[in-house]
Amino acid sequence: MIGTKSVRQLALLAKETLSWKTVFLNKFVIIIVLGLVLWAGMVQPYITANDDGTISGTVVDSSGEPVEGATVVAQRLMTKNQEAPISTTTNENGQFVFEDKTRWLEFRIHAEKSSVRTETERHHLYFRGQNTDLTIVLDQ
Amino acid sequence: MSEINGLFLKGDVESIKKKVNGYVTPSGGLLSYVYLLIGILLSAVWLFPLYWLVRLTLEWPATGLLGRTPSLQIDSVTVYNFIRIIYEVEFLTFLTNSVIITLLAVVGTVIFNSLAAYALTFDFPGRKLFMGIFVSSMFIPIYITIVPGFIITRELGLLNTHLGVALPLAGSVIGTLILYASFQSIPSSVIESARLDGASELYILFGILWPMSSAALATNVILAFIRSWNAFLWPLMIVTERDVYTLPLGLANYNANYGGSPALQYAFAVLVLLPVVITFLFLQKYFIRGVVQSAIKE
Repeated sequence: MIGTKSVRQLALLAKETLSWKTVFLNKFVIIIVLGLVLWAGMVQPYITANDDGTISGTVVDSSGEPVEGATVVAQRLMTKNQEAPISTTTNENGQFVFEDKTRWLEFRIHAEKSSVRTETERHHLYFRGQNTDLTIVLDQ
Repeated sequence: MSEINGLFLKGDVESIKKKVNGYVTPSGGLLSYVYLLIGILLSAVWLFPLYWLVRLTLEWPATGLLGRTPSLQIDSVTVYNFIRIIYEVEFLTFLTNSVIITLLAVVGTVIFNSLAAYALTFDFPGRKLFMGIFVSSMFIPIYITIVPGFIITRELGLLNTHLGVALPLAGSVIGTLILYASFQSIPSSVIESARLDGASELYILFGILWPMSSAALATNVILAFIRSWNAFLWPLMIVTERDVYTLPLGLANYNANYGGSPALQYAFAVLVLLPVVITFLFLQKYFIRGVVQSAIKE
């Protein structure tokens, strides 16, 4: 049985050795706190500001001129399977946009116009729904 | 200790103590360079599989085990495989479970091992027999105790709980012996004078022996950390609910489901491995000192 003397002595020992400095100001706690502060102060706000799931871009020809009316096909890739491809058409400035792809982390994309088709590009994002701006060169 | 002193000259003991304290001085000569070369070669052999593991995890798009064209260099470095793992599995849940279980096991190990080691420093009838049985229990494989352990845990109602996983991991024979050796190296006059001053046995253990055995305690912490962090078979028996999965269980489960993606599997393995490596890097000085000091004392 632990006597009252033992308990008193252990309590005194804990009081003497465990100050707030030894508990909170050690390298483990400092590194963890710094990591959390960095995450909450910089990483998380950046993610929140850029996770609308907008995949946009421009289709240009080899001389850099925008290509109007090109079909852009994108497909979400997952580890075991993939979603059905989706497509859109470029405007007069060669721009295209896929919106609300907030679950996307990896995808492939290509552009095509009048039987000319680009190589399929594979892209990954650093967080789900990261807004991305691409330039696709369609060699007509 | 006198037997050990008898085996070495005084100078040898001093040089060993220097090494224990981290001051290794090169002896010079051609032989030391040969040793160095052998050491570097052996290190390379040991490190190469680890390098390959890390190399595969830093490559995207993920390739096979050897890549499309096997190469030693990493063409493009990305952390995407790690990000994908964090998104695809309940990584934070597994991590939290592993941290809770490891903390319980480490704290339990340090306390229970200290109590056992301190008890062994006393002279009591049958001490040698008890020590023999205690040490020989190291030779009992875990597979033999796993079924009785499971039944006891079930009867205690601790299946699918953190405590149920941590309890059998909270204590080890080897850790107890390291602490026992450390406690024995402390002069008995210190303990006697504390006793005369009215210190209780628990105060002697935690207030006097503990501060004088920091290296042995650090060794216990590292061994317990590695053992509980990497524990697989015992959690596999005890845990059936995914909410209580530890990282090794999560990794095994992921490997079973996504066997065709070595880069992702390796990325998960690296994430599981990382805390152990970081902890060891922080505490390696104490670990090496503790292990050596438990074997060599004056």
